[in-house]
This record gives sequence, structure tokens and C-alpha cells, in this order.
Amino acid sequence: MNEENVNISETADSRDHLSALLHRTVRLFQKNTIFIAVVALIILMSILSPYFLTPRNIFNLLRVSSITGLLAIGMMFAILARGIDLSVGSVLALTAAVIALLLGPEKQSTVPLALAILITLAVGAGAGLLNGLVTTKLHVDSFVVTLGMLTIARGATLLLLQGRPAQIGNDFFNGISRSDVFGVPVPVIVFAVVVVISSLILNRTPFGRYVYATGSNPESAFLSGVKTDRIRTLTFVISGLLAALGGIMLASRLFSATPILGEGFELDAIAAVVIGGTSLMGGRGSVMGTVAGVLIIGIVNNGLNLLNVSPYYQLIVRGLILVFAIVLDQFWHRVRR
Amino acid sequence: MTRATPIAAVDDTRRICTQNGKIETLELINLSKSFPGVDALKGFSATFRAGEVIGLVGENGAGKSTLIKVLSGVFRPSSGHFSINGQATEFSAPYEAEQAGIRTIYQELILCQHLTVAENILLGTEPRMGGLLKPFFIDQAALRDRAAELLREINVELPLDAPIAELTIAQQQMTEIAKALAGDAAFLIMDEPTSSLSKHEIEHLLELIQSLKAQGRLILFVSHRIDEVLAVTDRIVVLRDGELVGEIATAEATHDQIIQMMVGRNLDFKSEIQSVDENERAVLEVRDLVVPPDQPPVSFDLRPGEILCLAGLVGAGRSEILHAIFQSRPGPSGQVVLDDAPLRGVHPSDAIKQGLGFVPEDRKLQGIILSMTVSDNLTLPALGQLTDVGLINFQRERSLVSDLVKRYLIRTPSSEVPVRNLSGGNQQKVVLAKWLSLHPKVLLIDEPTRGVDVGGKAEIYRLLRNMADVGVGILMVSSEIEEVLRIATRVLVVAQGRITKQLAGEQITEQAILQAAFVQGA
Repeated sequence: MNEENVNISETADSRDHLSALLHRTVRLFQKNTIFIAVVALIILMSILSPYFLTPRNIFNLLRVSSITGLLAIGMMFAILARGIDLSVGSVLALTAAVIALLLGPEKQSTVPLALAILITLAVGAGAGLLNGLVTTKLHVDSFVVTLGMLTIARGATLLLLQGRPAQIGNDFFNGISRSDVFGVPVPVIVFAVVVVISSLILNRTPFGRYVYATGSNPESAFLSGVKTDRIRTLTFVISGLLAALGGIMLASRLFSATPILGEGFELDAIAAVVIGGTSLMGGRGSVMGTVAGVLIIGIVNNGLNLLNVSPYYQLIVRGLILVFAIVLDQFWHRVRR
Repeated sequence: MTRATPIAAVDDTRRICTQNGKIETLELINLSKSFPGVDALKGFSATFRAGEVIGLVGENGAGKSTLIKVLSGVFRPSSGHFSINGQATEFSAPYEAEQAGIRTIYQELILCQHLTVAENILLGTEPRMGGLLKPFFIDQAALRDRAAELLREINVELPLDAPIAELTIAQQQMTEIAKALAGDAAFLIMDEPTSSLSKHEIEHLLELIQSLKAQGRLILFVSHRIDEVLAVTDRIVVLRDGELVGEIATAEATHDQIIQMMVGRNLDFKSEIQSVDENERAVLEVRDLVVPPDQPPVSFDLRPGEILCLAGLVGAGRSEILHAIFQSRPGPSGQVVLDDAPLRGVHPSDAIKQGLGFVPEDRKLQGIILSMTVSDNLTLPALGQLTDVGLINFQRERSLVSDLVKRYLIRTPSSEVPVRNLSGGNQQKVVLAKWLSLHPKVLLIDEPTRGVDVGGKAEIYRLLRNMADVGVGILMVSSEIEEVLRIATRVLVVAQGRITKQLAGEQITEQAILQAAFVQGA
């Protein structure tokens, strides 16, 4: 391009060197686009708002993001195995309602807290199991199955709550979301633990390898002895379980459960997963990419609030970022060819 | 329409024939088509005339499909050309062939399943409403009338308003033919048109071909069924290894003579076959295995160290037998006994646990996972055995992988590259090697060297031989006669789902296999 700048005496050798360098740079960018984007956003926001980089704001940002994060990690499992889980927002609401009703509005709950949490997690996992079994055994597309579950779980929530919010009186439970360990909010710690365990599962266990194999080529995986139906079902169970964990965290933060809790959360989760580089066709994606996707959405939301941007514009910006992320991903893919 | 072609020296006179004229003569001059590593068609020349029915025969891989695809504009010839009515012609896409009056009716019918018979017949040439409405609306009444007229022309009755999905295969085929006539096809290519028809339907089709011929159309009838070729054609063209072996007037041809023409190649290798003790106990016993939906039951034994080949024509039901043994397709019945233990289970993982391995037919869709690494592919079936407290032991995984890469001569820059970067032969070695670490008692292998170059083939044959030598029983499906002759210790010929012949030792000849594969009187 800048041919006049190139010294004529330069040999082909150095030109090769240059192109190799360019190639390496491109690769570096395409491998780490998402992380570079996170850093760039942080720098940008800290320039635009002096308040952004304060510990108070950062922890607030992370606390909010951790709920989306839990849903996004579950969503990632489903998408990696060539599925999708649209029901996470409703399952989050349902499980929040379940734990609110189990604990009740009085300070002394009749059901022990640990048991209440276990039951709630089981409800989330059960919803996921249903999603998985219908998808794999009845051969219905997971998009449709979980769209059904989205409505069913929302209906069940309304039924349980009789259409009204339910207060939670248990002080210890209500304190979970607010307390911190060495300054780090508990929901953030919970999310971090989930991230570490998910990483371990995906990268170090046969199950994780099977998830990638099933998503990449179900027929080959099946003929190699992978129980692909079971693998796909389990990804929905994980998604349901993490939605329940999100429901518990959110109920604790709000001291209550409301019928409209978590509406639209599935879209944020999908956006985070996709921005994080997971292929909607399955088989490609990583936990750290998803974490970065969650952070990008979190930083953008937080930043736009700090900058007093109208919520209407916020929606438009979020939509644009999602589409831009996909376009960028496609672009890198083409460059590689 | 005339696109710039990569071939620099395109003659100006060699124009695309866009007129929907009659085809009086079609000359094929020295047509060749090569793919990387394969010459699928070598210097094919012939002249076809209007009002003729030409039979095209040859064994699997003889080049029939390639010739069809060149004629119908799917492939461009690598060299040579053809001329219509003396005018040199070339097609860069199938629709150009259609405009020139050439229509191909493929074995897999390609109709729109949810449109009606009438709509399918006139797809793309629908009659329009008059006046201002012309650009927007189809004249439904005229569409039905025209479709009915075309069906009358070929003397076929079909429900005009029924969606294609509700028709039988034979009825769909008739729809395809009517559709070809709607486009005023002067030259009809029929690829295995009778393969899924009943006896009665076949008779009707053959009659129809005769009446199309009487209308002055040219028909290329491609079939494995020699009897039908003899019944319906005027001339028969025989292909072998991409070359024209000969042309013969049907009136003078006999069944055996055609088989003879398809065979007769020089085999320039030494057979590596070793005999297996006849009295040895079978490692795999298959008893009355019925493959759904309606294949006849098959029974056979496989002894350790034996390479037993299921030979026959593509589509004879051989792959289905392997899938049934491996539990990878629902609903087979019958009994499979592996090393004295009846095989039970409902999933390939059960079959694998009992000592089976399976190298499927379509490497890219079934054998490997292209986007995953060589290492991930190699350890996929064995992953469960490479764990400590539930976590994969990467060190053990690496050492297993490097051992397999070495032993199976897999040429790859690293075991961490995606397997898609490897050549076909090396990909196939990956599929073979992934079963080895499990020490299978029986290996099922479907088309072991499809898409593999000559050098890779030799290596794969040696690897299979080595496995057999250590006592693995190998059940192989192969459509390449040369391969069968080269490595099979015993051959079962399958035709229309039935085992029609068993051959061993000296009996394994090309002639014998083809005789049994091309069933007489289908």
C-alpha cells in the first residue's frame, strides 16, 4: 500500500518478514479481540467518567454482571452443544419465587436455609432436564422447547406468587448478596467459582470434550461412542441449575421475588455468549470469552448510566454492539482463510 | 451469460447454445475430467443422435456420474468439448444445459416437497395472468391445464393438486419427466431411474422411454440393471476406469458380454491375502440380521485375522449392515454375537465397550470432527480411560497420541492442529488409529480408502493387514474391486440387501464379483 515508503533496495526477505509480522498481529488480534475490547472499553470509560474506576462502582458493576454471568455460562454450555436455552430468565424468576415462598416473610423460616437452597437448585435443574429430554428424546428443536419453557415457567411463577411480589424475611439470606469477603461481594465470588468450575469441566473432563465434539459434529461424536443425547441434556441441566443460582442471588439482593423478575435476561445472556466468540452453530467458544462478553455488556450498561444516557438510547447501543461483535467475528474468520 | 472463463483459449465459435432448439446430434469429443489425484473421465468420445436410447453402464467409480455431470453442466470438462448439431457448446452452470434442452433426472429426486404436482411441473415457467397483473400473478387455471396436457402427452395420470410429499417415488419420477418436457427437453439423462421402483412401475417407465424416443428425443439411460438396459436401449456404451471400453448395438449384446466388457483390467499388484484357518472359532457371528425398513435377513461369520469384504454395488445395503451391527441406527433385529457374548445395547458406546470399532463411510461427516485437533480426534473414544479422578490426564493423553501418530504413520505438523488441515489419507489414518487404543476385537470399516491417494491407500492396506495379523477380525465394505481383490480374505457379494455369493481364495475374481453383484432379472 505505502509503496513509496518502502525502500527499493529492500529484499523480498524483509518483505516476507513484514508480512509474517502482519500475519502474527492479525492472529493476535483475532485470538484476543474480545479481551482487547474489554481493556479498550475500560480505558475509554475511565477517561469519560472519573467515577468509573472507583472501587465502589467497579464492585457494583461486577455485582450486577454476576447474575447475567451465571445465566451466560449456562447458555454457553447449551449453545456449545448446538442448542439454545431461551427459558433462563423465566427459570430464574420461578426459582426466585420458590425460595421466597420456602423462606417466607417471617424472620424465622420454617424450612432450613440449606434445604431451601437445595430444593430451589433442584427446581432449576429439573426445568433444564425437561428442556433436555424433550429436545433429545422427542427430537424437537431446543429453540422451540425452551421457548415453551419460557412461557410455562413464567406462568408457574405467576401462579406461585398469585401475581404479587413475595417478601423474604430471613435476614441471613437477605445478607448474602450484600456481604463481602475481603471487600469482594459474595455474588461476584459465586460467579468466579462457577467460572473456575466451568473452565475445569470444559477443558479438563471428558464431558467437556464431549460437549465440544457433540456441538462440532454430532454424527461423528455419536459414532465414536459419545452419548450425544445425554451430553446435550446435561448442558440444559447445567443451564437450568445456573439460572436457579442466579434466581437465589437476585432474590437475596431484592429481599423478595416478583412475577416479572428476569424478563429479557435470556437475551442479555445470549448476547454475552455471542459477543464472547461462541459460535451459534456449536462447538466453538470458551468460558473466558463468555466472561469477557458479560463484562462488555456490564461496562457498557454501567458506562451509559454514568454518562446519563437516556435508557432508550442504551437499548439501541446494546443492539448495535451485539451486531457489531458478530460482524467482527465473521471478519476475522475471513481474514484467516 | 458468457462469463469469463479461466481457460484462456476459448474459441469464439464455441458459444453457449441458448436456443431451445432440437438436438439432432450430440457429439462428445475427447471429454476428460480430472480431480486432484484422480482422472475420473479420460478422453471420452461418442456421438448420440435424436430418437436414440443410449445405455450407459460400468461398475462403481467407472466414471458414469462424472460424465452425467459434465453433460448437465455441473462440472466443466478439464479438456475436450461437445457439440450440439455441429456447433461447439459449453456450459458453465446447469441452467445453461437446461436451456440447451438437456435435462437430468437424478437418482435422488429434487422436487419441491410441499408444492403440488402441477406447480412442480411448471416451476419457473408458470403461465401468468394477462395485462397489468402479469408481473405479479400466476394464472392458476392455465397452470393446471398446461400440467394436465403435459401429463397426457406422456400418458400418465397424477393428482395435479396433491403435494409431492404424498406421491410414491414412481409418481415423483413421472412428475420429473413431465417437468423436463415442460422445459421442452430434447435430451433426457436418467440416472438409475428404476432403482426404487416396483416391477410394474419399471415396465411403465420403460414404455414411457420408448414413447419419448418415438417423439424424437434422445435418452441416456444409466443403470446397474443390465436386463433393463438390454430391454430399452438401442446402443450400449461401456465405461471402465473413466475410459470408453466399447460401444455395442443392443440387438447384438448379451448380459455376459457386457459384464465381460466392464471387467478385464490389468491388475498390477501382488495379492497380499493370507489364508485363515477355516476351523477357527468365529469372533463375530451375525444371525438373521434384519436391517430396517425391509432388507432381507443376512447371516455370516467373521473369524479372527480375517478381512471379510462385503462387495457389491453402491446402494445394495452394505453400509446399513455395518450400522446395524454397530447399533448406530435404530431398529435392527436378529442376533449379533461378539466373541461368544451376544451383543446387546442400544447405542454405539455399548458396541464399543464389547470390542467393536467402526470407520464409517463419510469421513468428514461421520468419521472425524474437522474443527477439532488431531489429538482430540484420536482420543475421543478412549477418553474415559485417560482420566484421574474425573479429570483428563493430559500427560497420558499426549503419550497415547504421540504413540498412535507414530505407529499409524500419520503425517501432521503437530497433533494440536485441526484435523481438517490433513490430507484425506492422513485423516483416514486418524479414524483408524482412534480405535486401536481400545484394542477392538472386530473393526467395521466402510470404504477404507475413499478419497485417499495411491500412496495413502497402500499404507492403509498395510495397517489393516497388520491389524488382521494380530487377530482383529475386519469386516469391510468396499466398492473398489481392486481393493477387494487386494486385501480381502473372503468376499460376500451383496445385491439388493441379500448376500448372493460367497467367494474365498482363488474364487475371488473381478468377473465373479460382478456376476453376482449385477443381479439378473431384478
